Amino acid sequence: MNDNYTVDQLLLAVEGRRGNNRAFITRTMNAIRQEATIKTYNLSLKEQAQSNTLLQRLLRLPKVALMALIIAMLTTVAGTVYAAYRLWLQPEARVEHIQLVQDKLLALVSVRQCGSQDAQQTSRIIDPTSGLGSDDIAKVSQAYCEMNAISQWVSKDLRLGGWQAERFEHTEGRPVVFAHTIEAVHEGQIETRDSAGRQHVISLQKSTIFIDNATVVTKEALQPGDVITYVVKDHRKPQEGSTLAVITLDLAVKYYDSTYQQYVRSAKPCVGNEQDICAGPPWSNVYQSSEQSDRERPSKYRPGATKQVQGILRIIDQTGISIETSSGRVVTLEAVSAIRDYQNESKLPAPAVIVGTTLDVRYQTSADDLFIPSDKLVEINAINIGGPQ
Amino acid sequence: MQQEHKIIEDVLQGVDSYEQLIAKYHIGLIIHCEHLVGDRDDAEDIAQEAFIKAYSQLDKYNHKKARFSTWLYKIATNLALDFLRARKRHIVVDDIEAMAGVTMPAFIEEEEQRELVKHVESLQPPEFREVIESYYWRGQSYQDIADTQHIPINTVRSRLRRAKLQLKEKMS
Repeated sequence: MNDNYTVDQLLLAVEGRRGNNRAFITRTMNAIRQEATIKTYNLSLKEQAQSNTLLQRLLRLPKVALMALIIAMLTTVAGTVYAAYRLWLQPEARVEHIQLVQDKLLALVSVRQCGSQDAQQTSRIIDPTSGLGSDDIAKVSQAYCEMNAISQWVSKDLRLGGWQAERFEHTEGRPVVFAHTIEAVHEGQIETRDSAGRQHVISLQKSTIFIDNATVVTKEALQPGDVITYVVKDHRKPQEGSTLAVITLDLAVKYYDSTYQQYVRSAKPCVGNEQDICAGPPWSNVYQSSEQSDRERPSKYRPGATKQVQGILRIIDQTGISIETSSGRVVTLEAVSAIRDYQNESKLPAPAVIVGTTLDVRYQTSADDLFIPSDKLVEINAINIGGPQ
Repeated sequence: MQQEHKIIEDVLQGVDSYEQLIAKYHIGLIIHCEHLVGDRDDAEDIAQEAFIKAYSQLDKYNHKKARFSTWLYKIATNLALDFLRARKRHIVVDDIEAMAGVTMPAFIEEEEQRELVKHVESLQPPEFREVIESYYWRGQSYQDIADTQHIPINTVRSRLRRAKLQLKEKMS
C-alpha cells in the first residue's frame, strides 16, 4: 500500500463501495441548479418567513442539547421567525368561520401571500352539496392562490410571451387548473395522469427547470405520485414544444381540479348593492343587451356604469323572473322574453333558466333596484352553485 | 485524473455531470471543513458553498496549475476562514494546506482500492468495520453514527481511532 498517503486519504479514495451522503449531494446539486437558473433567467428570490429551516437544524442536534436549546428558546426568543428564499411566496389559507346564507355556505377565509396583499380575509361561497369541510375549503382556496402565484411568476419573472395568459387563465381571470399526477419519470420525459384520468407525456429538455417548494431542484426530486404542473413554450404542441419548467404543487390533485375550484368561489359585495353577496366567476351567459351599440353600452367594469345583483331564481312566469338575494330582498326582472329572444338569436347553447338557478344580473344604474325593466338590463349570467335548490 | 478532466470539460460544455465531482469529494471536504470550524452543520454549509463557488468559477480552473481537489479544498478553506473571521474566532494551524491534505482523497489504482476494502472487511471486532464504512464511505457524522448505532459519541471516536490503527497495521 502507498506510504505517501494517510489512512484517511486512502479510505476516502475508495470508489464504488461508498454509500455517499445522498442528502448532501442532492441538496448541493439543487442549489447549483437554482444558481444557474437564476443567472440564466435573471430571476429574483423572495424571502418567506418560516420555521422549517430552524426545525431541520434542531433535529440534527444531540437530544440533550436539543432539550436545553428548546428550554432556552422558550424563555428568551419565543416568536422568532426564520426566513427562506423562494422563487415565489407560497400561499397559506385558513377558514375562520362558516355560516349558512340562503341555502349556501359562506366561509370567511384568511389567506396569506395570495395576490398583491401579504395577508387578507376573503369570503368564499361553497356548494352545500359538495360535502367539503373547512379543511377542504382552505385547501381549495390555497390551491387557487398557489396557481395564481405560479401564473404571476411565469409571466413576470420568466417573462414569457403572450401565450402564457391563455395557458394559465380562463377568460374570467381564474387560473386554469391543470394539475397532473406523475406516474413515471424517464430520462427524457415524464408520464402523468390528469384529474379526469387522461394520460399525458411531458417531454423534458436539457434546459427544463424543475421546481419543488418554490425552489429549483434536480429531476431526481420528482417521484411517481407527486402532483405537478408544467410550463411549455407552445401549449398547442406540448409534446413537441420545449418544456420550460415542471413545478411540483403542494396539495392533492383534486384541489386544483376545476370541479373542486367551482365548488368554492370568491364572494364579494355586489357592485351597487353592497348589502348582498355576489359569487365570482365562472358564469355562463344567458342574456346580453343588444339595444345599444358596443361603443355606447355602459361597460360593466367601469365604476358607476352598472349595478350588480345576484340571487336564486324563485319565481318565473310569462313576464317576469323573481330572484331572492342573499340579504332576502326579492328583485323582479322583466327578462323572460329578453332571454328567449337573445338565445334564439345567438343560437348558442345556454344553461337552463329555471327555479333554483343562481343569476348574476348587471343593469343600468337608472333602474329601480327591485324592478328592472328589460330596457335597463345589460347582462344576465347563470351560476351553477350547487344546482337547483 | 484524465477522467476527472473530461468531467470538467463536459460540465463546461453544459453536460449535467458535476454531481460526479461532488460524489467523489464531498465526504473528505466536509471532514476538512469540520476540522477547521468544529461544527458538522456549519462544515456541511461551507462545503456546499465551496462546491457552488467552484461550479460558478469552473471556467477559471486551470488543470495544468493544480489538481481539481487542491483547487476545491483551497476554496473551501478560504470560505471556512471567512466564516471563522466573521464570528471573531481564530484557528491556530501551522500549515492549513497540510491539514487539507489529510482529507484529500488519494489517487490510487483500483487494485489498491480492492485490497483496502478487503482489509476493512477483515477488521475485528465487526463494529470497527461498521464505523469506518459509516464515517468514510457513507459520509455520516459522529453524531449520526452514535444515533444509528445507539452508542455514545465518544465510543464512535474511539472505535474510529482504533479501527484506523488496526487498518494501518494490516496495510503495513
